[in-house]
This record gives sequence, structure tokens and C-alpha cells, in this order.
Amino acid sequence: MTNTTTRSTARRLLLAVLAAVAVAAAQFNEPLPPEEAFPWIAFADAGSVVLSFQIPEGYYLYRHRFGFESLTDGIMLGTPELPEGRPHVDEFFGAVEIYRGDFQIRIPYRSAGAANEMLVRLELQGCADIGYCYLPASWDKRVRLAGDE
Amino acid sequence: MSDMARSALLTLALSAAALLAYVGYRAVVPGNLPDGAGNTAASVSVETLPDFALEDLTGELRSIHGWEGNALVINFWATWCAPCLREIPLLKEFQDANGSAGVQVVGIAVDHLEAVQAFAEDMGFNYPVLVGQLAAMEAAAEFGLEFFVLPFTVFTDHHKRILGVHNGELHAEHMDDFLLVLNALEAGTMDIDAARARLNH
Repeated sequence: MTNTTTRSTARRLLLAVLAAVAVAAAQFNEPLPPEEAFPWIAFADAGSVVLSFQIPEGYYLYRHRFGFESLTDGIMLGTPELPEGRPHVDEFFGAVEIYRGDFQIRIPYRSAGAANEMLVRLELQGCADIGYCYLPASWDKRVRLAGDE
Repeated sequence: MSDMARSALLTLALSAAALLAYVGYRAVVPGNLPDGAGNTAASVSVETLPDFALEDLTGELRSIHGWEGNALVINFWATWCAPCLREIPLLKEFQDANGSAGVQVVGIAVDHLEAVQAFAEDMGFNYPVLVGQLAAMEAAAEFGLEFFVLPFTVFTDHHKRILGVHNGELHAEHMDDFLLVLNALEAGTMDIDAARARLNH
């Protein structure tokens, strides 16, 4: 197996495990911890940071509540490529877009040096169909840049 | 076997193992019991109302123990949370109907003061609203939950004993249940354990 295939397989495995845990937890019909309601992984690919999500059924994220930041000196993030969301009419906040299920966000990055990794900060906010919402969350993750092809 | 097939099998095996491990974990670790849609009662380890203080809409610091002798409905919410806004008319109606019987609704907005003040002008609350960001989150943490969602509501009796915590949107049947339990406790026809079991079913 090549290194690229190994890394790709490892990512798929990690996301599959996170999704399986979320599916199992959802059976208990109680609020999932935020990390299980909105599981994600991050990796570098062709000059972009890719954030990959697998949201369990019954949960959703607001498109307009996403925020991204590089916490590593010398690495700057470009304009995020957010996929089109699903239309969602909220009785209080009007027409918004939300994400459910699997989706990816690509963010191009520029590095002034030869950093091997970066720390990316993700801000998000979502709710559950059953009738509750999560506080806005701010999560940091290390992304390995070496070998980004 | 090809690399792809091996990878797929490994993914399947790991996912199954994670699922089984999680189910096992939730089966042995005390937690919330499954119940009906929209009714997600939460178990808390705290039995009496903790003491904390937050500012009200005028900036005055108010202790949550400031409604001595009242049974409380402490409702955590935020202006950006749709299910929170949906239940406010129900809470206002409940306050109108039961305020004179020593039952007090207290709203706690986990939010910016300005946003809550603007919202309150339109909403016309008939119950006190306390506000805070980090301070309100710390207040919520006093109830011993590992994490919390909004809205969540704490019910106490007239003696600061916590009867139940409800995650998610409230409906009329939740308020009816609370009144039933409260009245039964006062009448001595239900003990505290039965009251908690009823509200945390």
C-alpha cells in the first residue's frame, strides 16, 4: 500500500468509527455530546485543508455559523469552499441553509515557511430536530501538512 | 485480497467494534433513560438548588436563591435558539396561571445582554430574566451535567430540592407533570424519590 493510500484509508476508518459511535449513541434518544453530534476530521489535500463531517441523523449544522482560523504563524487560510446547504425555513430566523449527513469543506491555505503541520480552529453551531440546540462551539485540530499532494 | 477489500473489511470491523463498545458503555454507565420524542429528561447528581448569582436585564445582580419559598422553573435559553423561543409563550402562560400559588419561572439567557434586552422589549416577559455568557454557563455547570443543550429547564420544589431537569423544548404536558408532582409533594401523597422518578422518567 502506498503512503497516500494508507493515509486515505486511515481517514476513512477514523470517520467511519466516529459515525458508528454517533449512530449507536443516537439510539439512546438523549442529547449526544457535542463532539458526537458533530464529528469531523481534518486533513491536508492539494494545498487545501479539508474538513470532513458525518453528522448523525436528526442533527444539523447552520451554514452561516461556520468560522475558520489558522492558529499557526505563517499559515494563512483562503476563502472556504462551503458546499451548498439544504434550505431550511426557521420560524424565527427566516430562510437559512443547513447541513445534514456527510459533507466536506475545503479551505485553501498558504504557507510562508515549511511548516509540517498547522493548527486549525473551527467554529460551528447546530441543533437537533427533537428540539434543542448546542452552544456555539470552537474546536482546534492539528493538521499534518508534510506530504500534502 | 486486494488492498481495497482489506480496507473495507477493516472499516466494517472497526465500526462494528465501536458500535458494540458504545452500546456496552451506555448500558453500564448510569445516564438518561430513553423516552418519548421531545422528552429528554436528564439525570443530575445535584439534589439541591446550587447558589449562584447573575445580572438581570437592568444589570442588578440577582441570586437564584432570591425567590425564597417558591417552587422554581429555571429555564436556560438564548435568543439564537429557535426551540427556546418557541417555548417562551408557554412559560409566560404558566407564570400567569401559577405565580400566585408560589411557583416562579426564572429565565437564564446564555447570551449577550444587548441581544436579550432587545428581544425582551418585543417579548414582554412576565417573569425575571437573568443574563450572562461565561457566568451563565458556569451556573448551568452547577447542576452537574457533563454538557448542556438549550433550552434546558430545572424544576425545584418549594424547599430548593431539585425535582427534575429537562433537556430540550418544553410542552404543556411537562408543565402539567411538574404541577402534579408539586401538588402531590405538598399534600404528602408522593415522596421526593417518587417525584424525581416521575419527572425524570
